[in-house]
Amino acid sequence: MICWMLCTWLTGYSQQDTLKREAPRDTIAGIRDTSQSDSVQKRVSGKVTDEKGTPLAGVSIGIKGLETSTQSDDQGVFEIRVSTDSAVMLTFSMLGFEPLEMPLRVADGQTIVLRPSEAETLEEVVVIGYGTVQRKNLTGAVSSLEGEAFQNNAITNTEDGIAGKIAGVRVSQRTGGPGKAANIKIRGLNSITASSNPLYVIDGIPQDHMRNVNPRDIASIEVLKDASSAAIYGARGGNGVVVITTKSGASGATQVDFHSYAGYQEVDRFLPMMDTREYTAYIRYLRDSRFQQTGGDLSLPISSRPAEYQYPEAYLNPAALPDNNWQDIVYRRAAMQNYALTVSGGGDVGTFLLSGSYLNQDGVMQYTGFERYNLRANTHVNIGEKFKVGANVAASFNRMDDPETDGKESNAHYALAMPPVVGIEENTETTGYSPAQTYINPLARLREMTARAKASELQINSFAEYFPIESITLRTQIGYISAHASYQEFTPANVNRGEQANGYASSTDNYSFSIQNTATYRPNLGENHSLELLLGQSYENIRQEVLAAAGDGYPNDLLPTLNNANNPTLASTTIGESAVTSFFGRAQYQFLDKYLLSVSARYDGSSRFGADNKWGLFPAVSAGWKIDEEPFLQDADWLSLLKIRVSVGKAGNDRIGNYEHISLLGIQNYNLNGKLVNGLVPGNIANPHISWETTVSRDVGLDFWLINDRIRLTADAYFNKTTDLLLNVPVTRVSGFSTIRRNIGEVENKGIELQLTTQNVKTESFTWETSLNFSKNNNKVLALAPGIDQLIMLSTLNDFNAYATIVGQPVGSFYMYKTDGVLMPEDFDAEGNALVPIVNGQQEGNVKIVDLNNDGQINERDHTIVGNAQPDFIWGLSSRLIYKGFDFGFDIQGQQGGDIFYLGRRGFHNGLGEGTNQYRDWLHAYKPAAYAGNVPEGIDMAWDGRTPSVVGVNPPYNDTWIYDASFVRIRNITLGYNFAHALLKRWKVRAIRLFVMADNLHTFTNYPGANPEANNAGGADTGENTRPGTDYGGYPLSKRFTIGVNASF
Amino acid sequence: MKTSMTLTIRNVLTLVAIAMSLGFSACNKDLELTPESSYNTADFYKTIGDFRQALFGAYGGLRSVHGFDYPMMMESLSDNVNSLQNTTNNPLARFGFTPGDDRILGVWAAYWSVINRTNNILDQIDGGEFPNEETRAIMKGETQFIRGYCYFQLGWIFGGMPIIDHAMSAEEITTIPRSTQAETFAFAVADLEAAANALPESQGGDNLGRATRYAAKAILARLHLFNQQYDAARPLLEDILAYEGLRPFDQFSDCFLNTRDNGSEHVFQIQYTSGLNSQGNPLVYSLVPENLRSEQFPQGGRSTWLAVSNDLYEAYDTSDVRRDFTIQKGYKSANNVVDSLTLLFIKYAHGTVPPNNLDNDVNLSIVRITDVQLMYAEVLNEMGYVPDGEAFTLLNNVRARAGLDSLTSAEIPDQQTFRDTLLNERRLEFACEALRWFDIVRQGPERATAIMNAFLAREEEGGGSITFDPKYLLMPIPDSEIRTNPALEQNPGY
Repeated sequence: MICWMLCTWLTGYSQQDTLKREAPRDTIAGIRDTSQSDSVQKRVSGKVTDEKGTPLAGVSIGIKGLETSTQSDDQGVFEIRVSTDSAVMLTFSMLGFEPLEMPLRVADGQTIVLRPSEAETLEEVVVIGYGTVQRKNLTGAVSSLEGEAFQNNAITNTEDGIAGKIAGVRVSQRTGGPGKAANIKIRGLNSITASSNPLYVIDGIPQDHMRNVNPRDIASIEVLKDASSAAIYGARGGNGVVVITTKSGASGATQVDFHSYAGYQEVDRFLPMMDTREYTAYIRYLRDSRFQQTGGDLSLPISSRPAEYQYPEAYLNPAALPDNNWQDIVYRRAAMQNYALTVSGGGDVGTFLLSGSYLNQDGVMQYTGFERYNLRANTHVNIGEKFKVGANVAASFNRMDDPETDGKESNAHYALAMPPVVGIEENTETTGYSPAQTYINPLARLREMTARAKASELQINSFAEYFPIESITLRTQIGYISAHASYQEFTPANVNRGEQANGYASSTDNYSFSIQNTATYRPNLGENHSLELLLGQSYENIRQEVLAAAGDGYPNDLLPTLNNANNPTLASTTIGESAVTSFFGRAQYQFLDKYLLSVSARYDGSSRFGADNKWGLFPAVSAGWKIDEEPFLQDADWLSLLKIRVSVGKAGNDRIGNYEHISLLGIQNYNLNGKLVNGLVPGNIANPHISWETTVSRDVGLDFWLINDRIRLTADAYFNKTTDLLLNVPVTRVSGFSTIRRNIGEVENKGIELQLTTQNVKTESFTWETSLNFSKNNNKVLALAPGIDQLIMLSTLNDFNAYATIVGQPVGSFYMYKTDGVLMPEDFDAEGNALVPIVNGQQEGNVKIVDLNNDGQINERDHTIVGNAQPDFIWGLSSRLIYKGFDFGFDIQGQQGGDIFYLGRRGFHNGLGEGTNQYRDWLHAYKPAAYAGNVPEGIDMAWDGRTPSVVGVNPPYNDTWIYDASFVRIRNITLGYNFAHALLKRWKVRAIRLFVMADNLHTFTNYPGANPEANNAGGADTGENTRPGTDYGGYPLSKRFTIGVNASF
Repeated sequence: MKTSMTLTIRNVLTLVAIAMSLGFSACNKDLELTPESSYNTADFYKTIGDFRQALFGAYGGLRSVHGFDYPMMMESLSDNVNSLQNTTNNPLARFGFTPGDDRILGVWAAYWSVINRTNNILDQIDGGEFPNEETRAIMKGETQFIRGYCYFQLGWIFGGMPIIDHAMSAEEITTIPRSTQAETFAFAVADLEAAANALPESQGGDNLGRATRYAAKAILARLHLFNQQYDAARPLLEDILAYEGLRPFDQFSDCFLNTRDNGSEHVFQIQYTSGLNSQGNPLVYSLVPENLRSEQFPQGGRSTWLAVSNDLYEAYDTSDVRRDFTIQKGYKSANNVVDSLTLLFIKYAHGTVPPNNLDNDVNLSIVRITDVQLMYAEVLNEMGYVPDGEAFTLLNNVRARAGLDSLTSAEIPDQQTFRDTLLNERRLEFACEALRWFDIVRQGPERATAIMNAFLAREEEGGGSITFDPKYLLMPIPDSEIRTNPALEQNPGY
């Protein structure tokens, strides 16, 4: 590939050379064509300049309607021969300038002035690591999104603003909880058991997340997708890099911007749970039948049965019972508001931007909410012509109330599982429990429990630049981040289901220090060559200190703080530290503005790795060819950019624990004579050789821009191969451990991405823009460890195997029994013995498990892949229309394919009805003939042909728990109105825009749970790849309706 | 032009060198970070204090597994637990488990991790700093006791095990095949015999609860009994019974009170203490339903509780004081549903009610002195039935404490009847002490299968929908082990 690039580069060079020398001959050739029809010729000459009078070289001058064309020379001078028809029109065109047509007789001998074209894209620069590059000269796979792109959404997090907008970037909204960040993955999963999260670089400082950035402060977001772009971040670039640049002031008059919106949110949709009439009928059928199965006598009083087969006599007359939809009780219409004020300006001395904002989002779940304050000061000062110093200082504070909202035993779970017969005031310790169920009243739990997370963060990012000579920039940047997070939890006895009140508190401090020194050199090598050299060095240290404490023995439920806990149960402080030292360099070279080459390398050393393997080298090379600049396409006015990019690069991943190369002792205490005695045991199998996980990525891209950049297509195909994975390799438990971290295994990600942006209509009063993106990624495990071709994982409840990562398959498949309908009467002989393999205890109507290996028994050997959480493809569509003062826009996002594991089927969708409400489907479960008489009268409980009987055993987990997670979501619709300038002038206002927005308006999906992207029961942190896409009743997404105003002064 | 460019490049290089030197102070030594809040294995295992901590870590592993996975698994498999109730949560009780079962893996993994800890100690103890050789010998014996016990447990539950007699890498382990059950027991016997020779008669003061000579002898005797090596068991049991420090409590109920922990009844107990960080006994509440409320269980039980079988309840004589102490019939739930039929194990719930339900204070016995007595009675009977002989006395002593009449050769006329009576007595005496499954398995495949099939055929226990297969007498090697360790062969039938 490199060879090919080199060849192209060389041949391109010679072609260009030839062209320059032989240009007159070309012109003559052109004349020859026309001379065939008309032999009378005239020589016309002139000069082309820009508005400042600078001569323009390379302007294409043609004759309208004819093939003939020439170019202006270095002095802007041109000469062309034309036929003597005076009506002939000359055309002048050059990239970056408005095309011009002029009658030949007017143009002859004149200086023609070209005006710069309005299309701003020309000047568009893209932020890459430690520098910028013009978009048209980009050689790597970098997508960018201007801050404008998500100023029109009612979003709390930057992640939500990106969702569906950048090809190759998958943003999953795993929960609808206010303030909760979505998950971002770039070009699939490179890693199996190390983290696959990207690196975030905010104003030059590498970080693990971007959750404290105010979306309104963002000027642009660049996503470095291929390793050639990300390699400049070396050991941490392997999962892609998200580069965030915050806004800064601009020279000119001081500008004041005010932005605000406010509105309300609602749950997207409620799930179809049973009402009281249905629930009581179902429970009667179920418990009668199960009692009957154990030999019970149905004619005896119900109260004489074992508790699990009893139900209250009142169920016989459901009309007299409460009929509560607990989703209605737990969820509400909730308010959301946001205010932001920005003051910016600048002059010769420098620029400044001050911004402050406040966001308050109540959750749609009662008593949940999020609040955030952001302050930012971005300034720089010029000290003479050779020095520039500056600082970006950002402070944020946020507060989140999140009492058990998501996942198993959460309030979201109970909102679904609480039977409708339970009264709103029932089910606390003081009010007593309904005979139906002992789940804690979720409304009371939300009201009385404390679960408050607070975070404050200060980021100070200061820099100094020195320009010893014009072509050199020396820059030193020092970053310091101090982040404090505290969490306080208290569960009063009243809502702790019999347990005493208990409290927990933690305090986490993160200190991050970084220093970067870079030197950039842009020599003047004449007009044909452009070179930029970067050399740099950096050091970073991150330290985390965690203090945690817990206690019980509270005298009452009144005060949640731990000083009232008479019995401390936990006191712990832990410290972790990591450091990275790096050296890096990059050369970007352009020849004739059409052959582009970029070479970079980074040498990283990390404290996380073993003594012999601390250092790694991460090189990259990329090249581009702007074909449209070639002479054979000079005439193609419709073409504004045709560029082919190729890149190859290597980047790493170091997302593991801080000390995995060291053998540590874990605590395993014992007690003797009633006293604690300390025990210390080997805590891990250390791997002193542990080192980077390495991703080599190859990318071929095409940028195809048409009609003055009005149509812009970017297409990329990539192939990423990650080797030496930081894999937790399972080892035999005979060793005393379950896994060892090794550099072993391979994963590949192959995919294509398309991003098409079109300006469909552009007139003075009406513009219409559309942006479409499409990404398809194929993920495949190529190898694990020797002798191990699959990693099988238990469900996160640690009960049964549910997931597998298998060589030849994508990471993290759902791995379970396959079913084939239900066991029918013909599957049993006259004595009731099964004629097909079953699990002990299974009966007619239970799910029929397929004996895949035909060994006559049902066990792990019959597990197979029944789905995978990774989608076939994802896409997004945004469109924006502006008509006079009105603007209208919408964003749609979709996922096709990919599955989700509905672990909620264990509780409120398993039919077992151990006092939990159920999906309506279970009314229509299979009814074996023996129990048909137990169906209460007056209710339709006929079998729907698929739902199994729950008397007997339906072995978990099987493919009936797996659902297609495809969806189409209307993310945003916005309608705005800009006041006319005339009116504003009178008010001395620069601009006013009023708008209404609808966010997350609807999600179209066949998934029966609340959110097809939910992941609240999957593995945390590094388990998220091997135990993905698992929903046990999640916080639903909310649709938001807001109105707002933007005003500038 | 050319000259100026050269100059420029030289300037650049100089400046770059200056700029980079600013940050060069940060080099390799900054990457050598050592953990500040965890101990490092490198300088461990030196002093007696280090070895004590390592040993307590091994005991700690036993505390974990004996507080939940092990007893729950053993009772579930046996005829002490109903197979139909709680069907989703307990595939062990309905013999619907597979080699992937998490509880089986839990038991397996726990014993091996304790073995690894003991191997680490035994590998290094000879080089450790001890005040005198006697202390070293005692600690070595204690470590061998723990390792021997683990091997015995693994051996009878899973069959022949690979012999890992020193700390090995995972790679080395996967080259070691399973030995036979007999070889596994022989390895355990060597450890237990060494322990029996090295350990003191008793442990007192702040060492109360550590293994003693008699603990080693009792486990060793149990091992011999499993192998029907009555000759070998006999002297060990006689030694224990001769020791005056071990005598039955007067009352059966006292055996399960936290206030009588480590008393003369108990030959060896796993220690649990309430109010310390995670040292409490979580088994007690795990045996009763989540929504139960009573004075003993103000916070209820666990979702994965065990429903006691009618078969066990009915096996008790109505005058047997052990029945109502061991089993509660019926309960009232938090939502006032009254159940008059469900049977619950409450054997350990009679002592101090803990403030937190998984933090009970009561110890769990591995061997009680009545177990030693009944083992001795069994040995005597197996060596020759003697009408109304010493075996009868031992049996009747246990019965007397339970409030039952003595049995004579009139009721127990022959050796087989005595054997059956004795096993039944053991079932009643040790219900919920994880011994019933052991007693069933060691009767051999034929009798064990007959016992289990008769039990499962009862409508309210198995409803006839569950069939027992002799393969269940050995638990399967966990599925994940078969996948990670090619040297491990699966047990037949799985």
